[in-house]
Amino acid sequence: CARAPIRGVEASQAEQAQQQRELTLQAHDRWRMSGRVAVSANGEGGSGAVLWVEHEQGTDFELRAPVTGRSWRLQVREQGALIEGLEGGPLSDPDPQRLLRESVGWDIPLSSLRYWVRGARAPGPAQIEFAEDGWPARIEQQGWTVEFREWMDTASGRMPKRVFASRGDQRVRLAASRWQFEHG
Amino acid sequence: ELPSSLQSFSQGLKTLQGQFEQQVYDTDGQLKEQTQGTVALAAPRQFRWDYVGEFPQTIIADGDRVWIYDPELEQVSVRPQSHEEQSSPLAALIDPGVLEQHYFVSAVPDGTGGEEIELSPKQEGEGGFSKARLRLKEGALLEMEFSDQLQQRSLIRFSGWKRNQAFSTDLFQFTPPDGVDVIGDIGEGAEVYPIN
Repeated sequence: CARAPIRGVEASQAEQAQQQRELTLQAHDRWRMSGRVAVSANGEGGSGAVLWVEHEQGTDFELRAPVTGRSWRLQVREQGALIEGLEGGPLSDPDPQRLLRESVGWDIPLSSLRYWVRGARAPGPAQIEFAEDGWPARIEQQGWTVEFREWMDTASGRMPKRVFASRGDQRVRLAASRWQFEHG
Repeated sequence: ELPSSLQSFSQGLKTLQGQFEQQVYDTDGQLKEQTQGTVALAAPRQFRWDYVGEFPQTIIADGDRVWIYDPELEQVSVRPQSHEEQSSPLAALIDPGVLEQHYFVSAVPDGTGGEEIELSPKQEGEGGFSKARLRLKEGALLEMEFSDQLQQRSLIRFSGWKRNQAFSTDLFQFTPPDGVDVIGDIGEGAEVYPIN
């Protein structure tokens, strides 16, 4: 069900609400999301259960493949990134995105996805379209198209449930089952 | 020589169908995830897991390829089955020959008349798990447990096993639905199944 974008006065009201929401999200930047993720690019990729945690030291992004339980964890810190759980042992690299691409072949714009997955624009120029209910339907940024297919109510307000991002034949699709924010 | 409980389990086993409940625990023993569904097996190399619940998922091994279908994410990934064989203890179970080829197998009585079987891959890091443990009793597989390279423990409890029931032939066939992305797995020469 394509969500028809709104125009005119409603759009500017929606933009106001979105800016407010993005400020609030910025203030609560410690959160945890569990769900499923599927990634693909030129016919290759994978999927699995995902646990994404943003905390004081940085980001932990954990992926568990079904049945085999094959899993890996990417830890992003100020000084760089480390990935564990792969055959051959841990690997590290100052650039998290390069590490993920070269170790498991997943090319994901992690730093921007951190915003998109919460229904917010990443820093920098972006276009946004809102659906009739005033919630984001689509964000275009850095060549990516991010579609918000479904939203869910959580203890800390409405959050995206299914987010489909694509750029050329690259795809990152996330389905969230739980959102938790750390208050304090 | 396969342990006695495993022999009686796979003796004359043509097909198997049952329910499962899967729990995943993180390194300090916290329950991370709970899922359930149905599992079906057909010797020698076909199996199917149907996870039900919020994010249903279907995993089918048709004998050549393993298909993973995520309806919520509208994506199917496909890999040659040989790759999958070593990494899933259950896949190895229905073909005991594979078991002894890929795993060291040791058995210990579990004190209640059943047997605990320990499987450790012969080539380290070959499978997705460092070791697996199975619990069998009176020829039935009760439990399977394995821990992955992040030392997270998956415990799968089976129930309602039905042996050698007839299956419809397409239970282990998979055709990607229209409109979903079909992808191979990184590093595998998986040709993508031609959508005819």
